[in-house]
Amino acid sequence: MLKFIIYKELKEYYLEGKIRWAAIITTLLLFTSILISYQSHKSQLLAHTEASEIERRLWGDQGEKNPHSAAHYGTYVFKLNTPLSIIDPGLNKYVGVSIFLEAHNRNTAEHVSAADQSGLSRFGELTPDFILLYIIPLLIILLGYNSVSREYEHGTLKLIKTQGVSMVKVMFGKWICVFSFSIALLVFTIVSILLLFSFSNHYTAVEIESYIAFFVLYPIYYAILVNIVLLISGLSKHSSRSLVASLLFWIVFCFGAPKAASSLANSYYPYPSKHQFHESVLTDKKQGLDGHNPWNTEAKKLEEETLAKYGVDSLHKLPFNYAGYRMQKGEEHEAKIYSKHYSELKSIAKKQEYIYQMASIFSPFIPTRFSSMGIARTDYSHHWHFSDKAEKYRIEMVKALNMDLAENSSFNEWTYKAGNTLWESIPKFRYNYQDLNEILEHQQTNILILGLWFFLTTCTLFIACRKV
Amino acid sequence: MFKINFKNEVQLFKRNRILHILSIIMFIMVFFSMSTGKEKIQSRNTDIQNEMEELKSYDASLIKKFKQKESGEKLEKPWELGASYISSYRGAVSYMPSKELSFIAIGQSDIYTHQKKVSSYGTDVILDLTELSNPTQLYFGSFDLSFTLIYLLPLLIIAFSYNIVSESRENGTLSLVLSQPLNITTWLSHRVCIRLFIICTIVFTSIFINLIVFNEFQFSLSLFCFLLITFVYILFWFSLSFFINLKRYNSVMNAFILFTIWIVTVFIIPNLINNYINNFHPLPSHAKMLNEIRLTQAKLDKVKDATLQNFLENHPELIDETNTDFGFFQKYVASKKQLKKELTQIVHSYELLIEKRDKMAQMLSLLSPTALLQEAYEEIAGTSLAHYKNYKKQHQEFSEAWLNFFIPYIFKQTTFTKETLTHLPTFTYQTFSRWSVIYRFLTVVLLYIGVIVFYEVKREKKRNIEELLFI
Repeated sequence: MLKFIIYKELKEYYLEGKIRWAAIITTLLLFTSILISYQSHKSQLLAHTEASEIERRLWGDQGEKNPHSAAHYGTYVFKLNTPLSIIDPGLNKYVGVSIFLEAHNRNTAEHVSAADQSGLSRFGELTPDFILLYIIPLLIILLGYNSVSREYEHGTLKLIKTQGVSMVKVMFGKWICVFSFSIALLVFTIVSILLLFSFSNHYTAVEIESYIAFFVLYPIYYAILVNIVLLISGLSKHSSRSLVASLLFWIVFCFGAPKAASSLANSYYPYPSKHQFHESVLTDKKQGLDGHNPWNTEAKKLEEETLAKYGVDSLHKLPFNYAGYRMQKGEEHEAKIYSKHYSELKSIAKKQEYIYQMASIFSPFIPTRFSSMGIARTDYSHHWHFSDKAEKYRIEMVKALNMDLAENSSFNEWTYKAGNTLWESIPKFRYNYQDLNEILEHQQTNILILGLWFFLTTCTLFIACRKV
Repeated sequence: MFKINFKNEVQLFKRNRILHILSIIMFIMVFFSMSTGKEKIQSRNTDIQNEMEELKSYDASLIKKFKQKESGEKLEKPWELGASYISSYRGAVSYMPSKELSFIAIGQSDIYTHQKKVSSYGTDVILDLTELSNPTQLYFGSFDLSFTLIYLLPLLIIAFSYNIVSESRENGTLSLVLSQPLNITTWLSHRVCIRLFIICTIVFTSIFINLIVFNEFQFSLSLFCFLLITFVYILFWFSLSFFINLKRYNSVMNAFILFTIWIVTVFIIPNLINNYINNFHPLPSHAKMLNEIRLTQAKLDKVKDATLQNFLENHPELIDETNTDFGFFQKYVASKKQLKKELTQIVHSYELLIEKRDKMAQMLSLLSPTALLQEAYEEIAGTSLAHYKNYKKQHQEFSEAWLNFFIPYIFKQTTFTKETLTHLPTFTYQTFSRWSVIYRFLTVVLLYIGVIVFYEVKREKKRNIEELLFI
């Protein structure tokens, strides 16, 4: 019987002109978006790889100078987008692409591309995630809004019931048909991207587990939407009402709830302004050791402690250059201050994330959106991960330079200069993005909420079928 | 006949509970979005105020130190009263105040800062004006008034007007109406005008009440423009709805077509425009620009002494015969001037590409009334990219003036006094407006409406009663 229901539904889809056109247009849009996204990812990857190489060359070719001056000269590190960002570029447009690493300061990522774009860019871009998250749900609505209501309108529901067919079976047949369309488009997306990779020399390894994760995440999202659309179709009994109600749900899920959550998150847990943030860092810095200032209280205290530790009465008698040592101690103190203040920022971000999770109760789109960005490594936590790794590298780089000054020069020997050998001895910055298990652990609340949505909508649909 | 039609439409509206709910939702959304915008403006004004207060208290402490110095007291940090220190650490503040209707569109104000410290230390050519913000919030955007009016208001219009003719036809009342001795075109236009009036009443009442609630009601040219462009946008959606209504479709099909138009106008067209611009006029590579800047910096770092020498040759008035021993800061200032000269070319070529891209975006946005409206709202709110670019330019000009003021003090090592503090350059924001954005919206959208109405009138003349009755 199920076979007949599916056959009948598919035939109706085929005969309906608007469904045929919508499916063709969606597939074309999806294919175009994949090609565009792939091309832009490839050119960005090349540009950033080239920039990293030039920056490294500049670093290694500084010539002779004081190691601490080299630490001030600093270097840039660039964030390379992951291949998965072709499917979901997530927040890439809204976070900086490079971080300047220098002595004494932890800088935020620079060059946010959204800052150079007009308000038009806020309408979004045609990327695969846009089709997967916004347009395919519309296709689901188009396929399902009159699935049940037309049976009421045409009076065929009574006929079906008189045949003794279970309503659960009828609904399941309709469910499979609507769901299979969305899955076909998802398969098309993943296969197209994997095919593009196989023809390219730029991608050597494909992280298959992440693609599988996409393959689990999106079908759950689509299943929830199919449940909701069929439920509305069954309850409203009129196709026009069902269409309007389904579209209203789509707007609330995809736009209303996320925007309202965003406004509430900013209202309850606002970020400090850049000025406020820098001022609080500066206040803390002033209260501690300044590597450049030998006269402040903390510097005097360090001097006394060091002399006592090495059992000498003069800084000249220390087995290292005290100036370099003090610079390093100052650096360690500043690193702690930055760690404290950035942790505070992270905790605000965490609280904001909690508001988004609360809003997920009203929208299955939100947990899907967050999980998808997480799997693609294009979410905020990925940016923090990169930024923390860059900070770790900065601390180690500055330490190596300060300790070179301390170990290879004598006190007050400001003419000491190191050469290219030292700069090149500092290892290149290498970044490995987060492991999938780590991401799934971070996303467990979102996955759980999504699971709950699926369970509740499936149960409601099942109960509604039994009551028809 | 108008009176009867009016009564009938009001009765229909009174009986339609869904429309009552939608009207209440509209009011709540206007309230919520206005409160979001207001909150943003308040925090922006507080930030500016705080920074100005900090500057004032810093000046008070400086004056105290100058007095101590004058009375012969020994200062703990005497260098704090030097020109180099004051020019870098005291600095100045440039700021961009909010406009009276800034709360209607958050625009780019969530990305950019509205105040920036001006200092003689650091370069302003590659100025970063971005604010510290959660990128997730930037991605989702805010629930501001422009979102409510651009995205959600058309839905209310569609819900209210998708079945003007089809409902009467489906209920069988159309045949009764047409059996009366009346002009069908007049009957239809009356119904449309009355519905337009009801929608406008709901929307503008919501806006006015909320303006009064938030204490923002003050009649001005900006408010007039805001109301006018909103009205024209409503008119645009009504004309579309009227156009679809007169096609021979049933209510479901009307709703379906109108929602499709909504999706295409609000999402697909702006998305396609964005994609076209990003692919055919991509943003110039930041990474490449950064490399060029670093190469220039590295080159200048190696020739600091020669740069200083060159600078002094061009500025002989700064040479003090009694003191030719220049230190770090003089070398730094000379290098900074040279760096700025060289970087300006690199940054200018980068900005030219962005400008070309912006022009293309502006041209293509003519295809999308929603993009035009967004631009117009941002213009009234003063939160468009153009406003921040203009602020950036004003900041850079002021930074230059600030450094030039201090250069004689830094090079000639002239004593900086308490009186000099009162002569420090101060930043004054020059208001920036582009009324052409409003004119463009009005011209283009009215043209769209004109085309739709003209086409409809032309078709209406050929239509007969059978066609209307769907026979």
